Amino acid sequence: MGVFEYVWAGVLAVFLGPEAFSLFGIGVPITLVMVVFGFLLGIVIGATPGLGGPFVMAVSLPILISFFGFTPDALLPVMGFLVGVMKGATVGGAVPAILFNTPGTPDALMTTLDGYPMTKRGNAGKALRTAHFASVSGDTFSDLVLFTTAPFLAIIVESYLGFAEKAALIVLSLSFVAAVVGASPMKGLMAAFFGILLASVGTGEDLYPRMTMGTEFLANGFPLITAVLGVLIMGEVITSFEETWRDRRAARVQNQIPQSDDNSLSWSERKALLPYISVSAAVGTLIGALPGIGSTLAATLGYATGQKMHKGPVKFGDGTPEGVAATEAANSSVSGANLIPVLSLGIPGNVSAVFLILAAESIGGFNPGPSVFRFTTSEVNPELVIAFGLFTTMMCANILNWTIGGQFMRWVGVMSKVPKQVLMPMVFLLTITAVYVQETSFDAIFFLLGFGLLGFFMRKLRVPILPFVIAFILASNLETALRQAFAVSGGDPFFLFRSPISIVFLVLSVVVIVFFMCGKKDEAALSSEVS
Amino acid sequence: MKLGTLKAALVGATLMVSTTTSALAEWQPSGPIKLMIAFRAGGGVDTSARLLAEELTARHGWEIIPENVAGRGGAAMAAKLKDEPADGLTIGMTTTDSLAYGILAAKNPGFALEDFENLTTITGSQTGLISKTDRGWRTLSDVIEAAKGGQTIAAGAMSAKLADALYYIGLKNGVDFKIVMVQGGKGGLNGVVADDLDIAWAAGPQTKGVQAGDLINLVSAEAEPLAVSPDAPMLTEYGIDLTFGTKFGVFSPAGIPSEAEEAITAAIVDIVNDPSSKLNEFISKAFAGPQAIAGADFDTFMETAQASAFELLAAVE
Amino acid sequence: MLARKPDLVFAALCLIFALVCVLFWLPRDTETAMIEVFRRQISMGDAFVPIVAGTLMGICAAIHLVMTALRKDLYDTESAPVDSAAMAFLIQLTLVVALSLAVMFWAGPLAVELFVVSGSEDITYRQMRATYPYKLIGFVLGGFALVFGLSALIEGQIRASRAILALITVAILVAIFDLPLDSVLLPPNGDW
Repeated sequence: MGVFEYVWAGVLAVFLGPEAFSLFGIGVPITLVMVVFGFLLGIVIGATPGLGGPFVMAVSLPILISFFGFTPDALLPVMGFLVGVMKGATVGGAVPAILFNTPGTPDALMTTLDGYPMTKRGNAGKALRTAHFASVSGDTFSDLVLFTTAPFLAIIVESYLGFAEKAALIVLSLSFVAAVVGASPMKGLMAAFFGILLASVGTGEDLYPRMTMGTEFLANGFPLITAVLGVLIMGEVITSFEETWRDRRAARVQNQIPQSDDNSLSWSERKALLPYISVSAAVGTLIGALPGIGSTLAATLGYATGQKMHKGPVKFGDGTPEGVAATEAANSSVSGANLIPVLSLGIPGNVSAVFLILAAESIGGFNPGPSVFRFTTSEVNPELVIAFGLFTTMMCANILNWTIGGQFMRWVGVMSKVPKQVLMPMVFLLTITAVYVQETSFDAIFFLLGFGLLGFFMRKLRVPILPFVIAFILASNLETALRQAFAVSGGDPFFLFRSPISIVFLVLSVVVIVFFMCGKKDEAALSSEVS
Repeated sequence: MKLGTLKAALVGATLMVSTTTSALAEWQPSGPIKLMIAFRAGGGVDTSARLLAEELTARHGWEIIPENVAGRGGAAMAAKLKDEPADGLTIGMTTTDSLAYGILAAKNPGFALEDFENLTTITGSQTGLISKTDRGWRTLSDVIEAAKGGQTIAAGAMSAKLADALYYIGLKNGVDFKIVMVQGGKGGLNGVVADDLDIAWAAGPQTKGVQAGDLINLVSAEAEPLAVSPDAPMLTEYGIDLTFGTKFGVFSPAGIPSEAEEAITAAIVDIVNDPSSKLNEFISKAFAGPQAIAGADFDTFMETAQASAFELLAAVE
Repeated sequence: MLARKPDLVFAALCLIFALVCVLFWLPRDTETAMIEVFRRQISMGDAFVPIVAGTLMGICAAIHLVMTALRKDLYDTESAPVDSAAMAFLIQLTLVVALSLAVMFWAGPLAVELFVVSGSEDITYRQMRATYPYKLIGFVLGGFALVFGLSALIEGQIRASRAILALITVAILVAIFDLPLDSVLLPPNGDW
């Protein structure tokens, strides 16, 4: 099969896959239904302060897998749903930032700077339209970059990287995450190494489960989704519980701000935004392609470049649409590009990507990584078909986003008003249930709560969460690569330093750390240092 | 000698089928049955187990709850299964290797063969040593020759037993392989395809690649020739009188009521041997086809497997 | 950024933790050492990755300790990161959660014990864990207690509307997880 046959097979896998129901005699494919469902749910949850895409993905994964089963047929519906959530949440995240000055996710922090002033002036509708237009443009752009670069990168990686180089590359990714997220690279590294340490419990190759102190309780280690959900979601829930508990007497009143009648966004206004959007989209895509650097930094950089370009009467920070556009285009273009390291290296760069990998691993039949892109001609490479199917679902989600995303986004503004003290206890029970359904043991609930407390203290002590999470996830890949590289070298103590490529990766890891330790970080990076 | 016993067990299994079906009507589970799976979701054991669960529900109305208890080459599941109540409401699927070899090789496994009731096997592996076709090797002899010529051979193994097997093959033939542990049934396959490994064990997933001509089975580690490569040499040609294949088996904690044991076993054997079942279809396509060794024959099989594991350990020590 | 003093304490604690791991815990709690020689093959033992991770964590903690000690900019405006109020909150949270989970775990078996009367043999919860309504008793009562208890705790008052919301939450979760999927076990049914 040639390249185009593979692409076409991927498209067909989505549209001619199993049917969900039929409408006027035409079958509606289940994958498409799941993309739509995920997308709408993603917008709703993204618009809810305190929740985000990763939360939906983590909680729904066990349900989806039980529902669709463990056959390769389940891959596209499940991953399509996750892709929908990822994109929906990216758009939805701007809603509370613009309407109530409360960023739903750290990425949306910079959106408040211009979005909320616009709302105060009565231009909330315009701000939302600007955010949507910028977000969907950036997102589509980065997807196109992903589709074209990932296969080539994968082929290069596959032919040049052996075990040692792969291990060195994981080290480089980890040091990147640790250095860039948060205010202090040292704290990021400590979090990352702690993550590796905890991921080592109960695993390993020997029959004695290591680091369990002889207990049965720890013998199988900490389940991955449980640990990630614990630190990310339960940590956040407990933190917000504590905040609500502290100021429970202080009632907050939301004022209605009168809005102007004309809040449309004309074509000429859209055209005027394009330079900002394209620059920010390029920045976001570039940053997204580096493993581990989240959308927060992309948003910050996008905003900063936009600010330098800007010459209009209303300054950045005083409520200019260009500010909203520059931020949203940058943080939205990260999500597609973030799949470049996933598909070409098998290394997740952010939390959403982690859940795509987890879905693929749990279901089986698709191992994200360089081996996916083998354009075999003699027989069909089913993984490649799935990869193009995945790209197709992303394009479907983009089309949805262009057509109904903006309208839907303006409807879900109500979600931003749901009080935290009502929502968070529900999230608490939902998370416990989702974890239990997956692990079917109370032990998992205890682990979840334990990791939740860990996440709570890490937030209190300003230790970045993401390096811990990514390290926890990559630990087994890293250990396998190290063991294999060491075994192949025949026990060479310098096994990581025998090839120029791995030396370059390792030197870069150190350089990145040193660079970010010396460099002074600006306030935006500091204020979002937790996640 | 070992080969003989194995074959006898296989023949016995076929006879078993006709005698056990009658017990089916007498026992019904008093609640849902938990089916523990010793390996990660998506692999061969997992897929077989889930298909089995589906068929059991469809045919008998039993509620089956599959649960993956993966880790440490099956030892995690075995340790957990041992402590479950022996009431027929918990069974486990794993490879016979993980019990036979696993118990002997571990310093302190925490369980023994007596802790389990052997219900039935499902199918067997199609283990062969593979390499990429464009390496030019046709049989294991070519690899041994290359190694003797000074070439370093990196060889992948997915279990401690198969690593021992590689060492043993090297020992008998005067060469040293660089043994690399790989993850899961597909790990070795991926390593070979990516040129990170020269040769690797594969227990069945290599079939497609072999059929397409990209991969080649250099030697069969089974007692019989491999279905997809009938011409691949047998290990006996290299002075190895052991085989390294394994079987997927269903076990329960020791001491379950004999009606329950018979009913569950008969139900599984029926499904395995029914050409119209999804399980049968899957194992015929991806593994050695239906091989239901049940009851006393399975006990004999496990004892034999442990004895040959012991022999392997003694040989490499 | 964290104030200087708590950051110093944090770094010191991390350093001590890493040292204890590397020097005492890890070498004793792994079957194989860092490097294993076994049948002429040299390979990494199970201790390798944890010990390297622990060592590097210790080194980073030490560097962070020194850097924080040398820090001139004092962000001392913030209060202590974990104060007595936070601890009081955590204790109350733990009580609410522990109580709810206990209800979740034991309510079903207790109900079976009390209400299921059978002829000759004893019926255990294990056999009833797939039968309505027993399979849901633990989850509904425990889940309700958890959601309602948590909102009462963080709001500092008991409100009827929150009780209704808690019931709705539990009902939705049952509808999502239990109704469509036969092979899914709600808590605590997998433990029996």
